[in-house]
Amino acid sequence: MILNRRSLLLGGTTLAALGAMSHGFARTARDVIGGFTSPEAARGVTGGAHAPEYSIDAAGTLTRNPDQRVAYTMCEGCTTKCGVRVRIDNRSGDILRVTGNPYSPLSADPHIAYDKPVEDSYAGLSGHGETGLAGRSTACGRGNAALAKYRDPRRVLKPLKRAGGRGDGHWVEIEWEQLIEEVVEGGDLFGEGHVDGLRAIRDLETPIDPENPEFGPKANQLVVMPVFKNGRLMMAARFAKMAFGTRNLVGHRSYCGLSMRAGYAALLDNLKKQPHLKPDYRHAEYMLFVGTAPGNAGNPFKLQGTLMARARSENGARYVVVDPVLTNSVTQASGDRGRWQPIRPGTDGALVMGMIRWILESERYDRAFLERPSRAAAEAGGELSHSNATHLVIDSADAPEAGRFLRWGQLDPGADEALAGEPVCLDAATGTPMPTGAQSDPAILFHEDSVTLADGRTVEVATSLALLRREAERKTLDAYAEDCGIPAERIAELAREFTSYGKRAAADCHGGTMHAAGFYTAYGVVMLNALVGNLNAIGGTTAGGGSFKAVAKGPRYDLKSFPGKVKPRGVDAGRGGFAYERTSEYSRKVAAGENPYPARAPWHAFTQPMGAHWLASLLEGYPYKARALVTWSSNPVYGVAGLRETIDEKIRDPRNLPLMISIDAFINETSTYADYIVPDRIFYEAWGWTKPWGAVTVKDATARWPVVDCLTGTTPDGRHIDMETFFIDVAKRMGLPGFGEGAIPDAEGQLHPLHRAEDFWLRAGANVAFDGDPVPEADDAEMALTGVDRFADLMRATLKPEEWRRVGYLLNRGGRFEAHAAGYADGALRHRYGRTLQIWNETVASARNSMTGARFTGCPTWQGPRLADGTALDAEFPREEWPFRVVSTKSQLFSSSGPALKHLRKLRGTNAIGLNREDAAALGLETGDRVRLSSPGGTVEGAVLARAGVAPGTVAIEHGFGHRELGARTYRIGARVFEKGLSLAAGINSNDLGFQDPSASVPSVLADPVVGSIARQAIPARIERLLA
Amino acid sequence: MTGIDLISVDQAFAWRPWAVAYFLVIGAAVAAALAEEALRLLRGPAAARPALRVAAVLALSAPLPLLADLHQPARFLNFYLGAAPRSVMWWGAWLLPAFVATTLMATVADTLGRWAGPARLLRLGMAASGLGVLAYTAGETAIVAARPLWHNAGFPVVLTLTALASGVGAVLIAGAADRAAARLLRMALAGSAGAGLVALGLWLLADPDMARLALSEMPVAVLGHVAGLGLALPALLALFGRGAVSARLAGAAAVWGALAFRWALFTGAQAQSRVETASYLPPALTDPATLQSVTGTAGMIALAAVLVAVLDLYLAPALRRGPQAGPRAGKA
Repeated sequence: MILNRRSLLLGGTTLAALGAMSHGFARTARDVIGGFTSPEAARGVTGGAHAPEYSIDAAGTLTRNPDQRVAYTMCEGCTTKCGVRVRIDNRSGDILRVTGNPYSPLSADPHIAYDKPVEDSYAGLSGHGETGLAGRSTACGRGNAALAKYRDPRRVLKPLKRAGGRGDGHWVEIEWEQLIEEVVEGGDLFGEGHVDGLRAIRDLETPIDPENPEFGPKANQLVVMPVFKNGRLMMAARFAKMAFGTRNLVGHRSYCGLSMRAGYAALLDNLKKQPHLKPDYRHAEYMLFVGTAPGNAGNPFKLQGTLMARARSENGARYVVVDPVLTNSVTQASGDRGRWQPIRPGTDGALVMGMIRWILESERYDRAFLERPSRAAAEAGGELSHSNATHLVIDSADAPEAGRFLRWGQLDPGADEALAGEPVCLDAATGTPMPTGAQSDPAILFHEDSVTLADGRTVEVATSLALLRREAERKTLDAYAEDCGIPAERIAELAREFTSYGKRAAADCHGGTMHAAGFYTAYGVVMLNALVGNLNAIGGTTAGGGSFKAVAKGPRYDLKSFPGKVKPRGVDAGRGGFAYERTSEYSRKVAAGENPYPARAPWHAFTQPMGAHWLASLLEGYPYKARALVTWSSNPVYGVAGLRETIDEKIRDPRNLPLMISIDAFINETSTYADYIVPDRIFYEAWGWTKPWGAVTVKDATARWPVVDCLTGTTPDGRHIDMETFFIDVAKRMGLPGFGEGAIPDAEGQLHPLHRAEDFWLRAGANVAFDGDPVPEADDAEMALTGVDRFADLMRATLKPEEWRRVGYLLNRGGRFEAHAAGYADGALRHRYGRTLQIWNETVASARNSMTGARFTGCPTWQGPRLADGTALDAEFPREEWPFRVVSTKSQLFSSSGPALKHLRKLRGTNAIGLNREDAAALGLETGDRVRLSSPGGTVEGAVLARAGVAPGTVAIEHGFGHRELGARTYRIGARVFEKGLSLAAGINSNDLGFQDPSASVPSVLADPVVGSIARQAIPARIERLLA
Repeated sequence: MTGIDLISVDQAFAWRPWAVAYFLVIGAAVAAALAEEALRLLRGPAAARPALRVAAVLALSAPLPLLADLHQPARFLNFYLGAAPRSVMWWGAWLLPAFVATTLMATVADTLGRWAGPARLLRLGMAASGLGVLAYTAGETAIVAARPLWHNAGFPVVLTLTALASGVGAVLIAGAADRAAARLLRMALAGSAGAGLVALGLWLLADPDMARLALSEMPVAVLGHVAGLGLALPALLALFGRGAVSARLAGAAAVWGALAFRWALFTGAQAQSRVETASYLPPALTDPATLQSVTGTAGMIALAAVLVAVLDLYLAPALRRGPQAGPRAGKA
């Protein structure tokens, strides 16, 4: 009865069903059970998360978790310098989690009132009052992950000295006294013969080379390559430039975003400081991004992300991202407000010049702004900035002043000195020549004629805007279209759109312009802003809100001068900022009747010193060799395209560079060659003061202070070893000025000592606290809340009684920040940029290409990526042989140190070789296929990722992978072996494809011919399939 | 299954293939329950009984795939710890168990032939909660503004109509009680599949943006599959076919169409990232997770069918033989 066919069928079905279910739902069962029995579940509502740092009850009362503290400081997970909020476990001292500092304009929009008590700032971040996202402050993924640096087992904590050959990866730990002794005094340090110490190198009198006296004294043979302006740079600068006296100290600008900086600087008339210009994202109605990805990369990408999301969703702003690679700047979430415009790598300049041509010909420029020749004229006309569009330029190629402005003194030799130097414009109403400073009415915009000077010569003149139009009209719109691969109609459409929003349109670029046509591309992009007159305007562009005085001649202390301060002189080791025509080499050739051109390698007359070229230059000895190199947290060997291949062999030979010291928390691709590695603090352990690069419309001085205890070893007198301690102790041993006793003058002229980092950074804090209206004093309770009380004794001992609690107030809030509303006033940006915008830049126009002798153009122009001698890259490396152009892209998660961070490695293991889908199909490639990618300089191998989001002919490689160090290889410290971490070595580095400029006789990596910014974009390449 | 993202993170797909199984099964269950009510009204309880059995089997099978789709399944209990009346899913967390419970209890009552009064209330509850389930499943997808293809009037209509077609199709596969019931079911299938086809056309063709989006997420082959094999074919077979075989074919095609539609829009659509410029490899039918979801859900349906059969064949007669046994209610 029971065992009949029916019951057997049912039983069999049941068994089969249970079998199938156990296959399909085994994991579900595990997960459900785990949901109740796992350790996380046992911890209740917080699950796997840490216990909350505090709780807020219904009445809004805050109860602290005594096991944790919350401190506001500065992040350095990348170079954006955001204010962050760090949760620390009081028992272990570990950093638990990082989010944003609500006081910081870089992390919150709007940021909270500065005078809000810290306890209230905590409460504002809770769920109390159900304020939702209002008042929230964020840290990005990198910022969160970067906390892993603190306890990284690969951190260098004690001084290391190399035990084998350079770059062999074999180290021994040494004591502090030995380190200072050896680097200062030298000796037979490695059993390889005598090495000069820093004392022997510091010679401020004897020229490096009597044949070339312009190179300066031998002290210049100490070369110091620090990190970017991370808030601590001034200590390195104090040591290197002001005390030691070398002129060779510079950050990473020349391999990061120099093309953008220099291009913007050309328009902003500040080639020295190179200010950033950013859209007023809050009010712009139309934004054009060329080679930059707002909210995805570039800085401040996190703030941009917030502001762009608001702009498109709340303000209805539209934007276009011109880029060979589709980034997260345009996604489904941006809907039809954001648009991606693919372009051929390295050709943005053609697009921009096409747009400029269309705007000028269609008379869509802001006439009312451009025809105001001076600040007074601009103010009279209600404009917020002014330009030299109407200024007359000497246009005769053979005149000695070619490319320079016609000066009033050249027409009227009797004019007084002030007027004589004024450029000349023509009054719009009468056509009368006028000194621009005296012209408060509109002047003529387009004018080309000849003029007879007071000295009797007749020269051609043209207004700046006429010269820009001439340059734009060198090519037709169709020719520009053909060069950049964007149809002429689309170029016109972009130009029409850009000029359809009055001053509420803005253009921006960044790292995408780091190719061999970068300078003029960036100058062209920023010129679009000038054509709509948007500087300082609501919805236009801003040069930022500035900062409070920190390391400066401040209200309390003068941290930039001291008794015995040296003024360095001489030529930059990378031939930057010095005209070839001023060299003895040039004079000798001229005297010998030779053609002085080409130089052996490029010189760049008006750019800043260029660290990117230093290593190659100083190893070759052109202009001169270095005798000691100090790197600090910088990694040019990884970051400069083509550099590793250029220098690897030479730098290993100590005869080319006798002494190399790296100050770094980790062993990276550059410090691996060092003779000594000095441990350094990671940013949560360090002091410093920073200001935002750009895009922040209010004053911002972000504080960095040791929110956790420093882990590095200590000196015999108990100070933790770091960059500051190294420079201080070296300087004191050498007896350099500006260190030790009597080093820091206060406002009353009394001198204070500099024995430890805090002597410097706390006094910088006092300057910030007293700049303008002094900030209030912090009470003990608030300092206990943030952990600033750990430094109360030190602050009391270092600072004056009226200072220390005010500095505590700053540290409690992670810096000093102007109120959000202070960014705007009277319908415009309140912090305004005042210099004359350079439609024509005479400094650029009067400089020459050191390889050809040709004068540079003084306004944006389109030339295409070129070698230093002017040969087009496409001619040297024809597309038939090199059909692809490689670009690097940045993600919002990875910077160059990303793979060293364990949390990021979990999110993303490697990068790929991004190809356009149709390109991949034409090569018979599919996603996942392994290929070899070759350039004239190197080869990498990786997996293809075929995407629609890559422009045809482009290879896209995400930056940050392909490391050789940072744990990516095995090394030894004494008897300890640090095994190679395979995941740390994952992926490829597009900079391995960079190459030497074949037109220079001295090895020199490919760079922009005008300013020398490194060409890491638009690298010629070809692809071949690898057999699986 | 993992998406490979070019410039951000590699992440697990939020919608696992079990979601496809859940949406298919629960939609069909509700449709079968509604068919039961319609047949009962028009043709009496006996004609409605197979539909009720199908509804019970499917309702019993639905919750497990839903649980499997959750990344932390135990956390579903959190739905019951607090009220969130503005959340569609929270309503779903109440409607789904209500539907499953009323359907099962109505089936037990019907099988035992008892409790005629409460059974009527149970069936009313089943129909009402079933409509609620249709509304919440359509609603929870349609409110996702970041998926433009879902976030419009057309998608929930097509989702609901394919659910109705698949449920009626499932009843046809199981076999109608009689010819008249079969005719009614075929009319319902022709109506729902035909309306689904029209709705699909209107949804995608009325707006070129929608058509472009749809094609980016559902390749022409998939779209053709859904429209032709999944909607037009069952409609035509239901209208013009004759006999049990063609009815079962029509039913199977409707179920297949609903499955393909859900696969393309829930799982396949994730190859397109919402907030990042991602390049995901679309999930494959041969992925282990897909296979697990298919075998697991099929196993669950088989087990549910066994349980309902045991109830019908063994338990009910045994209980009916008991002291309180009465005549089987509503016997035609």
